[in-house]
Amino acid sequence: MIPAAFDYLRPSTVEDAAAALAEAGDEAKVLAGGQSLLPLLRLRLASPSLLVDIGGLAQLRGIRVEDDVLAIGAMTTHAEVSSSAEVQADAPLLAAAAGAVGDRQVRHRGTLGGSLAHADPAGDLPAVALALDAQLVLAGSGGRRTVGAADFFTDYFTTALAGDELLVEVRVPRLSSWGACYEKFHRTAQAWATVGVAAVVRRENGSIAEARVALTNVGPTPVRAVAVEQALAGADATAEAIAAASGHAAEGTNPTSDLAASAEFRKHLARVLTRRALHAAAGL
Amino acid sequence: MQLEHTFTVAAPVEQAWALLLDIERIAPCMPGATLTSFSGDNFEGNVRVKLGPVNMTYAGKGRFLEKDEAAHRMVMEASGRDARGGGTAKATVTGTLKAADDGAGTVVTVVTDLAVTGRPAQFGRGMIADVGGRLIGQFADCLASKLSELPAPEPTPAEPAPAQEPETGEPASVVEPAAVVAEPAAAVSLAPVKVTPAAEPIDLLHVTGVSGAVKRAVPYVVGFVLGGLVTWLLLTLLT
Repeated sequence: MIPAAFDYLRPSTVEDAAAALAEAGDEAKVLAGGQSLLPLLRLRLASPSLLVDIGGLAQLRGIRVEDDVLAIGAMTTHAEVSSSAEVQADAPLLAAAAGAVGDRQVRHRGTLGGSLAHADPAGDLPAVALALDAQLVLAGSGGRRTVGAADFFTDYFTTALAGDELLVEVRVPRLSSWGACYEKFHRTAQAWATVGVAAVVRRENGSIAEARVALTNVGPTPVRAVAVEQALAGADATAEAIAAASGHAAEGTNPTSDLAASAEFRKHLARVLTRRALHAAAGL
Repeated sequence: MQLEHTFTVAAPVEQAWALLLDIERIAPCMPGATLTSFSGDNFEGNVRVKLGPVNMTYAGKGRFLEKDEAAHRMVMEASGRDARGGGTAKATVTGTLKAADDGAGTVVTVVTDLAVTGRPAQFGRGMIADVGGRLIGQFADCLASKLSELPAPEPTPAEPAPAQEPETGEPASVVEPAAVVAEPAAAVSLAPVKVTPAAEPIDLLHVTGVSGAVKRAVPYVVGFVLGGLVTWLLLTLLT
C-alpha cells in the first residue's frame, strides 16, 4: 500500500501546470483532491512518474454566479458545492448529488473537477453534468477550449482531456425554476452507485414542458435516457405519465454484470430509479 | 470467468487457419502485446495496459496444450504476473475454426477461461467482459480485412501469396525448432488502439511482430491480452 516513487510538482499557475503536463507527456497525472487517484497509487494500479498537484491553484476554487451560468472552479470540493446557497438555488440537482458522494471525509477533499476528470462510470457527478448540459473548460499548453458534457466522457475512466490539459471550470446553466432529484442505489451506506439517476424537470401549468434524465453506471459513460425525455415532453405531470415514460429508461444502455448487480438488475434499477427521480423532480 | 467471442471471416477454413498461424501477419492485429521469445510450444512476452489512470505491465509465458489441425482447434494456456506485484492472471484460450453455414466463410470461436488470483479474484467481471469483447472485436475486424486480401484458393492466385499454403493449410505440425528471440528491430508498430470510435486511446501497447521462423504465437498473444484485461477488473476494486 505504498505508492511507487514519483516526482511531485505543485505549480502556482494553470499555465505552469499545463506546461509541466506537456513536458512529462503520458507519464504525468494531475492530482486534485486525490480521493480516487491516491488509492490507485497505493494499489500501484497507477504509477505516474510525475504528479502535478493543482491544490495550490486558488483560482480554481470557488463558485461565481454569472448571468445564466454558475461558474464553479474545478477544485471546489463536494462539500463546498453541496452547501453553497447559489448551487442549491440554481442547480439543486448538483447540490444533491455532490452531497451524496462518498462520505463526509471524501466530500471535504474530493473535488467537482476531479470527479469529472476521473470519469468513473460509477461516479455520481458525470451523469449530473450530462443532465445539466454543463460546459467544461479545459486549459492546456495551447490555450483554453470548452467541451460540452455530452462530448467530454468518452469511455471508462477516459475523457476528452488531452495529455497536457486540465479541467479548470465547470459551467452549469442556472435552472432555478426546474425541479431536480438524484436517485442513487447502493447496498451500503457509503458506496459507489450501483445505478444512479439524475433528473431535472421543468413544469408549465399542469404538464411537463421538458425533462432531462441521465444515468450513472449503466455503460462505460453516463448516458441520457433519450426515450424517457421524449416520452415526457409535453406530457401531463402525473404519476401515470411518469411511470409509463420510465419504462423506457433502460433503452440504449449497456450495463455490465458484477458482484454488485447483474446487467438485467441494473436495467431494472434504471427504470425504477428513473420513475422515483422524475416523480420527485416533478414535485408530485 | 468465461468469455466467449465468435466472429466470421470471409475466407475458407484452411486459409483462415493458415493465416491464424502466421504470427508475422497476425501480430499487428492484436491490441498490444510484445513477444520477447518464442521456442517450440513455449513463448514469453508482456502486456502493457493503460486505461485512464491505470498503467500496468503484465509479464508472463504461455504454451500450447493442443493443436489439432484436422479439427482446426487450438488450446493454449498463458499466465502473467503484474510487474509490480499487483496480481496474476491465467488464461486458457480455445480457438476453433469452422466453415460457415453458407460455405463462404469461417466462423471463429474464441473461448477464454480466465482465472484470476490475488486481490482481483474477489470481484466480478464487469468491465473486463465488455472491454475484452471489444478487443476481440477489433482483432476480428483486422483479421477479416487481412483475409479479404487473400487470393481465392482455387483459381490460380494472381499473385502467389508469399509464405501461404492456402489450400492445404499446411502449417506443419513440426514447429520451428530454433528458439527465436523477437528482435525489436522487426517491430511492427501499431498506432494507438482505439477501442471505440470515439474513445481516447486505450493505448493497449505496441504489438511487436517477430522474425520469420516464429509462427503460431497468435493464440498466446490473444491469451496475454485477455490476461492483461484483468487490470480492468482491478479497477472495480475501487468502486
